[in-house]
Amino acid sequence: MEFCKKCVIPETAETNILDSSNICSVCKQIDKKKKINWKERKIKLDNLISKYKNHSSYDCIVPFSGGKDSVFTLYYLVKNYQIKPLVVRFDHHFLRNKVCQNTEKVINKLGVDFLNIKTNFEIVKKTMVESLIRRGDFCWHCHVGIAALPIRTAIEKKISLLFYGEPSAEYASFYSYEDEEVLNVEKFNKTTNLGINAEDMYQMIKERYPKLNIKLDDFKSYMFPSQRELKINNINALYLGNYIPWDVKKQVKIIKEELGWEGDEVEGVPPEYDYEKIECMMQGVRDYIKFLKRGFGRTSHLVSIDIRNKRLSREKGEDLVKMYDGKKPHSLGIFLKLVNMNEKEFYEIIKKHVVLPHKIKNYEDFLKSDSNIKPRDLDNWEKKFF
Amino acid sequence: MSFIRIIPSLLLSKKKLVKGKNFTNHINAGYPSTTCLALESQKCDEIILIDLDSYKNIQCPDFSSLSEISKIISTPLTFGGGIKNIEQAKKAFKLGADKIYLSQTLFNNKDIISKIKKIFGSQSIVAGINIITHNQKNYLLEDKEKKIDIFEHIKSLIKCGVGEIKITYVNNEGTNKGMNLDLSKKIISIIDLPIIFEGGLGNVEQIIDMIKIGANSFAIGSMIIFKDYNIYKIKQHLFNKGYKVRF
Amino acid sequence: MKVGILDYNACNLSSVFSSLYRLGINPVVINKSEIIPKMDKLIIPGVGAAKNCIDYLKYNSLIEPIKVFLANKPVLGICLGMQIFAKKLYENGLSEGIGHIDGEVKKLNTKINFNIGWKEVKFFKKIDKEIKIENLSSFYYCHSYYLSSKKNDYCVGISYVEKNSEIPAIIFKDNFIGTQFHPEKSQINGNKFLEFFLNWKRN
Repeated sequence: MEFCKKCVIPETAETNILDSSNICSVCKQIDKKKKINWKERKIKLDNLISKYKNHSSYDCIVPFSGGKDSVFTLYYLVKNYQIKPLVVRFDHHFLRNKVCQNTEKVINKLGVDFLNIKTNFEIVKKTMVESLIRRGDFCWHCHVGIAALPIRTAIEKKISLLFYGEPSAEYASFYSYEDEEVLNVEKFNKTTNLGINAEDMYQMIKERYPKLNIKLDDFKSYMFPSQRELKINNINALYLGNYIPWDVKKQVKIIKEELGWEGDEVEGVPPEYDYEKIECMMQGVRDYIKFLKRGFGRTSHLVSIDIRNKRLSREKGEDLVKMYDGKKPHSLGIFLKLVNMNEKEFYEIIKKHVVLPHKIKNYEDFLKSDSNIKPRDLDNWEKKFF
Repeated sequence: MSFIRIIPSLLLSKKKLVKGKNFTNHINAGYPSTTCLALESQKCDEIILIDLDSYKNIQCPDFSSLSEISKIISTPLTFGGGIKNIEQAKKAFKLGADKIYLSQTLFNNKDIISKIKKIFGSQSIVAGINIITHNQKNYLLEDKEKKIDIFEHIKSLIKCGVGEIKITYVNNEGTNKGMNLDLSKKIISIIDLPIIFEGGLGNVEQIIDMIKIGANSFAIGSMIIFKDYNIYKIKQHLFNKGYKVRF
Repeated sequence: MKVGILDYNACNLSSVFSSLYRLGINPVVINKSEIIPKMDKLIIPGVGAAKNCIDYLKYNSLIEPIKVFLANKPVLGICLGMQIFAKKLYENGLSEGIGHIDGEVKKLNTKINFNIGWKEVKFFKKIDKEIKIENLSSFYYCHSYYLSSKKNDYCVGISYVEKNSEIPAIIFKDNFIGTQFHPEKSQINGNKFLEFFLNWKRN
């Protein structure tokens, strides 16, 4: 398996393409960032915001998780433009204590309306099993809900604009920095829903559990609006990261200082990265599955960003990866209990989804490779579900 | 040099998509129109839609699913499975199909080719060749008496005016064990028309093996239904290896 | 905006209709010449044989209304729908086209006489930027005849059928835009092109 010569991401990464000299496309794209005229972009942002402001009951919807990006985005818009947003969160049932605490603080300090929506957990669990089996990724309901629900809310409440945070180009190379206001069905079907739409999932679950009493309507929150619906309702999206340079470390400092936002420890990741992906109880399992399938985990991803921004040497990055990637998380026990599976069944399912040329570690090694990071709130999670 | 074509091959049964092994054990593979939308977003080059029930003569072709799908996607669509006459072909074209797939009909109604050709052109006809292997010899699936020479059959169809050939290796379907490279090589050397290969592809390496012997169009099924592969990733992998794919 | 699609038993009517519908338009299917002047834009789809098409248009008195419309409002011709605007068409005998484009429609003289599949389009005059796509984006073709013209100033994009064999992919003349490729079958590139046509005003 080949690795990028600059960062530590291998060829098995989702959207990365290694060129003939083994430099990955994300590393190459970072250089593009320097050629952007940010002054011009800021003026464009000013104009766009005044175009949308004060036209309906809310200026825009800010899709929210409570993580660093959505918090910073919300903060920036309210503080700099006095935007009146409707903050909308799709609650995937796995929100950790700290992110809930952070959310309360942020919402209260900024003074905004907040809508938190949870969907039927029995159905969620079934979708987790189905998407794990079919795609080796159990987070379907989350990918889809986070994408679709705010947009459905926008249509329902006649709010034309959705304001997102980071540009998609920082981490992946599906889209380049030049794209603006890209909100369409293609992106959803290409990158978000694992190729499975709500209608497909409904059919698949119905087949697997024939006695279950469910209707297509129960999956409404997961249905992405059609291109025509988006067009007719004039739904547009803006990405803050397309108009201001996106500096994660600087932004985290701001929200910590200004809003009292706090970081948290994450399974499988060095403690200094206490700001990334701290929202989800299942993050550890998710990252571990990625390691089993592709041969690299969240630490590889995080150190690569630092390497690209010249904050870390490749050598030091490799050391951190060796220490933290690929250790079986404590949360796996909770996950398996939720979906009613044992370790062997889990391993066999993941094995089918390994991305070549990576080879999954053998079962004995899998059983042995325990993580030593036990999240402080892990016992709370047990209490929540069982 | 033409693009490598990656074409999802979808089976319709009772208005749902299904996929199985060796023509049995079909399980649900998604709702037709939304699955096609997903495949389009993943940059599939075309879509082949075969009505399994109609192929088995259980009922007429599922035109309503065809119509629903063609309303949602902007991708070239080949429709088939049990199309028996020119009226059904005309209806399929009217509802949004770009090409018609014919296989067992060609054994007793070769005339349909010239009728379709006159109105819609040769490029709209894909002839399906289903190959089974028995005792290391290759036969056509529909040829119960094992008398017909595969190549003579194909040549006669070309003479009638089909525009494209689709080869399905029936024994390999859903097995992910790869394709018959020697036979494929022979077919490519003899047939001058565009050829689509299906049956047995389970990973990108197997696709590359076929490209190396001269194939450039692939119909895939279980690889995208039961695995985490999506068309875009497959193309990306091929691109990484230096092959010409369309994004 | 009223967008009319001409119905002359061409097979990709439903696909063109659906593409426009998804872009938020309510297209009008036109099979009577009286409706043509009421439209703001006209689209002429096309699959099938040239002679059939021209005969149908003549028999149903559609040629004059189209010419009158074209004098003042935008028309998009797709594939055969573009070719009928040439002077002469050589499929199934010789037919006389609408004559807006000074050219002839001849059979492809390549090894395989069909051009089916995706081909890159090389755009000129920065048309790619106007359509908001990258130059050399691919579009879907399905034809065996092509528009040949000595005057090349209205050709703003070409595709290579074989190594040295090029065909016009897209032509602009006065209020007319013609594409040899099928935008309704060209996924997101095709959608962007159709949006471009919907917003297009002749300079």
